[in-house]
Amino acid sequence: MKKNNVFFIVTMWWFILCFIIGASIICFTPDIERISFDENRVLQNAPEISIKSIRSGEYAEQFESFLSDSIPGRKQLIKLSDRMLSWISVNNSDDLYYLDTTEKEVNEYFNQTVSESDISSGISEDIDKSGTDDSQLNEEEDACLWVNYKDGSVKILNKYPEKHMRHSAETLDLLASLLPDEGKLYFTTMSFPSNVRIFSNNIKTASGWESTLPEKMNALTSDKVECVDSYEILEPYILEGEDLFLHTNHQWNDHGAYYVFSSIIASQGLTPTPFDEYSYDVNRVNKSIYTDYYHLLYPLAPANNWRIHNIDKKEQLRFMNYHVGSTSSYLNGSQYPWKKVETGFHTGRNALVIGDCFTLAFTPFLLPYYDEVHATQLSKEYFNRVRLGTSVTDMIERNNITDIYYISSESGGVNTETLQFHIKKMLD
Amino acid sequence: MVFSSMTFLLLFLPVTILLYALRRNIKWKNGVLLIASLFFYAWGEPVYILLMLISTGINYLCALGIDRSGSAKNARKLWLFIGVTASMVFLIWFKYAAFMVNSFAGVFSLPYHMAEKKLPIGISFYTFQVLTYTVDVYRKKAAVQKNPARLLLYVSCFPQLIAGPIVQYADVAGMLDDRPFNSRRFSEGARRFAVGLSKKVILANLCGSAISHIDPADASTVVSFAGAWYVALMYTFQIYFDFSAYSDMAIGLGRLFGFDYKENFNYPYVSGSITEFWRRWHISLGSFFRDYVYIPLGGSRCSVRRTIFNMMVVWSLTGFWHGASWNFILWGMYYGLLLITERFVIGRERLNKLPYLLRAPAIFVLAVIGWVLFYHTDLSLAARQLCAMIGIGNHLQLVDPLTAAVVRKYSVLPLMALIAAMPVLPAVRKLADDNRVTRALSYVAATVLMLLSLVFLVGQSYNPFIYFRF
Repeated sequence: MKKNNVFFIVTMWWFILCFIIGASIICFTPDIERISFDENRVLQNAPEISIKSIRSGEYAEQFESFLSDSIPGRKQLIKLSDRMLSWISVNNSDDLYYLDTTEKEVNEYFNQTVSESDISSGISEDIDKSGTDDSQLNEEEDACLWVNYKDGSVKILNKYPEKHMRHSAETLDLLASLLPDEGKLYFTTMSFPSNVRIFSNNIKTASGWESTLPEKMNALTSDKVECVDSYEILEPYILEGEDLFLHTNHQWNDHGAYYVFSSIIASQGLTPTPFDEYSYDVNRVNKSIYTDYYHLLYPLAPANNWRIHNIDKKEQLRFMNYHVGSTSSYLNGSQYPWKKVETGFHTGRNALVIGDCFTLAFTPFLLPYYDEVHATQLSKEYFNRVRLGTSVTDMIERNNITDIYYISSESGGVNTETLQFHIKKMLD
Repeated sequence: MVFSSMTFLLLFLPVTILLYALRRNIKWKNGVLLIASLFFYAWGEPVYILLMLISTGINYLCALGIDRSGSAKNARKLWLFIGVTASMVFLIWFKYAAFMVNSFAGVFSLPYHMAEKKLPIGISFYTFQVLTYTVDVYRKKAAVQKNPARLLLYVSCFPQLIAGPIVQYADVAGMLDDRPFNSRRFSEGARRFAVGLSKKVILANLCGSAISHIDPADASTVVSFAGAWYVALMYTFQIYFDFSAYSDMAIGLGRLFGFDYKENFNYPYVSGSITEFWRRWHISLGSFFRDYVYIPLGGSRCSVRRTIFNMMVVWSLTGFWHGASWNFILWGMYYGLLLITERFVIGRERLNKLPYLLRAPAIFVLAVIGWVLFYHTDLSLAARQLCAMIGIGNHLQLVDPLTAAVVRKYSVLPLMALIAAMPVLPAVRKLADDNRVTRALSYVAATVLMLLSLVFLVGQSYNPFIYFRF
């Protein structure tokens, strides 16, 4: 008996320590909103007890989450758990990408598609995937973005070779083909603010800007794709001196996004909700030379009316994280492979917004028009099929997506491998 | 509630142990364990506790009826019939009714669809346990339990309530009246519990996590040759670690509270024959079907044809017990056919003459194939995966990028799983004498495993028990 006393005491202490932790959680966890910034979610507090919640099992679930979320040193324990997983070679970080595409594969793809299409014309040409350095512009086939000056001169801001448009149009058509008959894909890209300012900072000398990309892309794509000319939409506002782009980040602000949004919504025969009706807070960020005011939008009802999911972790995200004070405040920026917002509206339509940081200010405006608004960033660097658990095609079909909005900067635009190549692979 | 939950580990178990240890009186201990067990079951699904109470109550009365009928055979049979029927009605209604009705409607093209009922947790396990009581009393293998609380404790005792092992009443009847509670049993039980918990939290959950990335149960998943085998292998390990971990924890907790439950797993993947596999896998279920179905049907003491019939009935029922779906029935029949082939076509003697190193991998591969049937409730997806495993399929790739990524992500896991599925620990234990030093080391290891499990639990959201749904 004595020999076993040591082992008994050791094992008894396991349970005593467990109980101390459990009891401490119950007694000392403050009943205030606790936020895990790493996960961008509100941690579960002690659930309120009711007969209904007990009967449904909801109370038990919430209580379990409460204990898990309230473990002392939780953040450190999660890190330790991740580290131990990495010791046994389980890579638990987010650096695992389905699209482990090599340069060789990209070249093979381009060579194959070009040779197939060029056999008939007998033309063989080298493929420049970056596209932005094409020095020679074929005005008939290629597209271009330029600034017009009052003295009649022009400055070219971007060029879009025909072959890039063709590959991108194929991708957009593929995406649109996943939509129901009445569904539509809206596509628009926008230059980075550094490029935009070549126009907006010179409105005394500049008379406007133009892009032939939307027209050329509309010609290359099916009827289910509508390429929207954001440059044309924003031009009058820029000429009036309105600030539509952030100084401290690389995308349009909520006003810029709203003008494009309202134009698209109007083209659908719907009435755009007035900007003022989207209640918002204003956060000032960056106290250095430039100061931006982020309008944290949140559409027409308290944010907690929306359940926001990270498909991977199936947990509730905060729709807006006001502590972040930047564009990442919306659904934690781009850190999740797929985000879904159940809007609480009943329109019978579901939207998918594909894009980059330009979607952050754009997406909240869509919420009153759809039952669900999904968002994903299909760039090779951000999209993670393993975390998503399935293909983009499956997600579009499974979630009954009726409309797709491809809203992106030029970094996800026509001249990029993302639009020309990678998204096609993600659809497999 | 499940064992690998924070609620169980941080609150339920310590409080139960504390209360249990307060007094030596067996009535007190039984009372604490009974109340704890009912709370354990009701936590999360309070409504269905009534089913368990009713089922136990009816069988309690029926067993009393059997006992009071003395040698009146017909009366005894009648009470037995009532008890068995009452228990099975609940099981059939909640688990099988929708499947049966919809299959019937499908065969005759009837425009009717019955919605599936929510399955009360552990109904398959406690129904069988309560049946063994009534049947054991009928067979005079066990004395009637006149104290309904003790019978309810036998049925609801939380260590084995929701995922077994299926404890036969005769095996624990004595322990309900008196059982030891001492430091040795406590520490040994806790050590076994820690091993089970770590097996579940670390190995089973990681295997499950690897599979979840690929998910061949999703029709849109591209299945390659390597992907099909990888998922099948990882599921083979997951289901073993998951279920055997639960049994380890149940046996450990049982020992801690003074019960001696029989082993439920004995390294099944080292089996040299299918017969041996089933002597090592879910032993309590095999024993139940042997004692309460196979032998009453006549067992093998009859003609070959009748034996084959008996075996197919037993194995179809074994499959059906796991779930109301054709894939489970097929899975059971698959093993029935394998056992019949082994026994009547190949012959056990001839099989045993083959080198073990040839037999064991073959049996393992057969088990892996069996788990593919078990995994997919959609038979077309099972067929797709099995076809991919033998290289058949439209545009079948050898390796798809997703599988390659997952294999890279979990590169060491298959090796860890393979080693853990081998009887390494018993071999080490055999080499090192069971002395104080090795015992001390085992407790150090168990303490580390317990801590690791808690750390992993905090870091994990993926934590379901597969056998929870049976």
